[in-house]
Amino acid sequence: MMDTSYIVYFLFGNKRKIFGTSIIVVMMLITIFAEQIAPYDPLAMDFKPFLSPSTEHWLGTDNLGQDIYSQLIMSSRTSLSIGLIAATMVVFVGLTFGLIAGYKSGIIENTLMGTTDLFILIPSLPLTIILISYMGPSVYNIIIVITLLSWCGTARIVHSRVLQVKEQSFIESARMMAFSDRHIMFKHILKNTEDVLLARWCLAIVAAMMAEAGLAFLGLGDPFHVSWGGMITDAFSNGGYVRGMWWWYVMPGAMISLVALAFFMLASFDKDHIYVEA
Amino acid sequence: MRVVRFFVIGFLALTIIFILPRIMPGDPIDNLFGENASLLNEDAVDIMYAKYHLDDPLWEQYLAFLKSIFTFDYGYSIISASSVNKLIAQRLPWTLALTIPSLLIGSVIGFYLALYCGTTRKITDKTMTSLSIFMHTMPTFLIAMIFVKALAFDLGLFPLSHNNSGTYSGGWMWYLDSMYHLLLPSIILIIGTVTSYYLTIRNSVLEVKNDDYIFVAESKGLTDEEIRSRHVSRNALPVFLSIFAMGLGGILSGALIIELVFSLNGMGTLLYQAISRQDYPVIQGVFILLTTWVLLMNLVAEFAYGLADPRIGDSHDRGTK
Repeated sequence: MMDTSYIVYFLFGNKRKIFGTSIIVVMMLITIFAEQIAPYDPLAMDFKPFLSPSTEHWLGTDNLGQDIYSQLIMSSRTSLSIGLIAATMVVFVGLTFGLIAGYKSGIIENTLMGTTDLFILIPSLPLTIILISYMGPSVYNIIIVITLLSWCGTARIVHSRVLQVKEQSFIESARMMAFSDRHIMFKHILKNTEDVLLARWCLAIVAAMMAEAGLAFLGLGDPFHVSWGGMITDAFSNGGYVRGMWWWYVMPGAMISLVALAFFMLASFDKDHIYVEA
Repeated sequence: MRVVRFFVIGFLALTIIFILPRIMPGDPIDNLFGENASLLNEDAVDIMYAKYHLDDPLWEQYLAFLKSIFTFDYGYSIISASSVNKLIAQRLPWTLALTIPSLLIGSVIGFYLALYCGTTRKITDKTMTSLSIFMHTMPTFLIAMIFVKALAFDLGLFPLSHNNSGTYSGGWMWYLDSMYHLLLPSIILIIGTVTSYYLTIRNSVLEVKNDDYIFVAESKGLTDEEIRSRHVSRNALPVFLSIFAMGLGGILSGALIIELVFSLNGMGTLLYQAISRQDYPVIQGVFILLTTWVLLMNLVAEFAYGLADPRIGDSHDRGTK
């Protein structure tokens, strides 16, 4: 569906995008080879608790005697996969709603956009907490709940873009040539929403990672899969914070910060405008 | 037409709040007694069910629920033996004392900084933009933790947590003490508000900056200050109003994470505790309040948007006639 040149522009279009792409590539490599990079098992309680950074333990150990550096490396898997999967689902659902609502009109449009408004209006953080605490904090549930509560912004933006594109004359000519609705929707209209979709995808990754970190801070992170947000929470509630072990919570924070920065850089399509929020 | 649409959506949102706790697994009475639930005999369970109207048909419960929305009678907390209204009345002022000043101060500073830096495009713009992006790359609680560590822990400028030190029971010293305790959380909220308003308003300032009428205004010999206040700000106003209304919608629950970091007794902590203890009446009451408030603010936003940008009002009228 997308031209190669467009993808090249999306990834390497300007200095900021090159910077973002290189950070993401490095993070991906860390994620893929996490088991080889991490020196110890992140959940093994083999060492003395509260060790300071040393040559054996680059970032010391936590309250249970687990190696913090290994946790930092392994956490990239949880945080990044939640971000990527949730964001992909968000964009997919938002696109489906926005595309159909924009192309069809009347009752279908009203129902779909009404549903979108409904989800925009419900206070999302409290509802996330309620849903996760009932469903249980597993990575899957976190992804599902984040998707459920954050597709609506994308749907609204895609909808308004489709409404604009629909009025253009090339759509009219396609209709004159008796192309089917499906053909027009997928070949012509979808094509003109791809910059919005890519930007939304980048922002949704960051938003999902932040939401996961927030949930972890509320004690609703997956206990079997450490994430960067979960590490910061551990440091806050298990003694790292009051003991002044700043490396315990600043390092995972720096990782989140780097990834978020990289995706913000990819999300900005021109020189001036910068979007960081949904 | 739009108002009708709003009411339908509001009605659906409230219905979801009614349905949600009832389709979730778990029994409220079992939760109430925890591990002692198995020791209860059948009669006692029946009495509890009758007391909380849990054995009524669903539609009767639903009617009672709808009635409670209009009478503001949310029932009693299961855990703390106090009415939900009373709990909310205790917590609400603390949250508002935190969020309202932060929203007002932060949005005004953010708006003017964006107007000024967006039109001049100098080093100030670069600094503010980088700072704003940086603040958005970190989770709120981490920012709060770093601020507390540096300013309260190491330098001792601010108290670490809680609403007040508890040494004063009333009088102006109590107010001063509480304000001092709320100062650092407010500063963190203000920084968050300023940076997010800055980026949003800056984008809309950049959009109009190169328009012809700005060029005309410049060639008429208007000063930068006049162009900013008369022409550029007028175009940034609708965007400002819409995010401001969203901010107003969030003043009841928006500070949940900050309240938890600082152990402040506000609405956020009330809701969080209620959820972790499965205190249904409190969850329901707080949620009704949050949702109706957000709904109202969105309605206000629609009208304000039309007032600030006459073009929008026109197109809507044309659409309905």
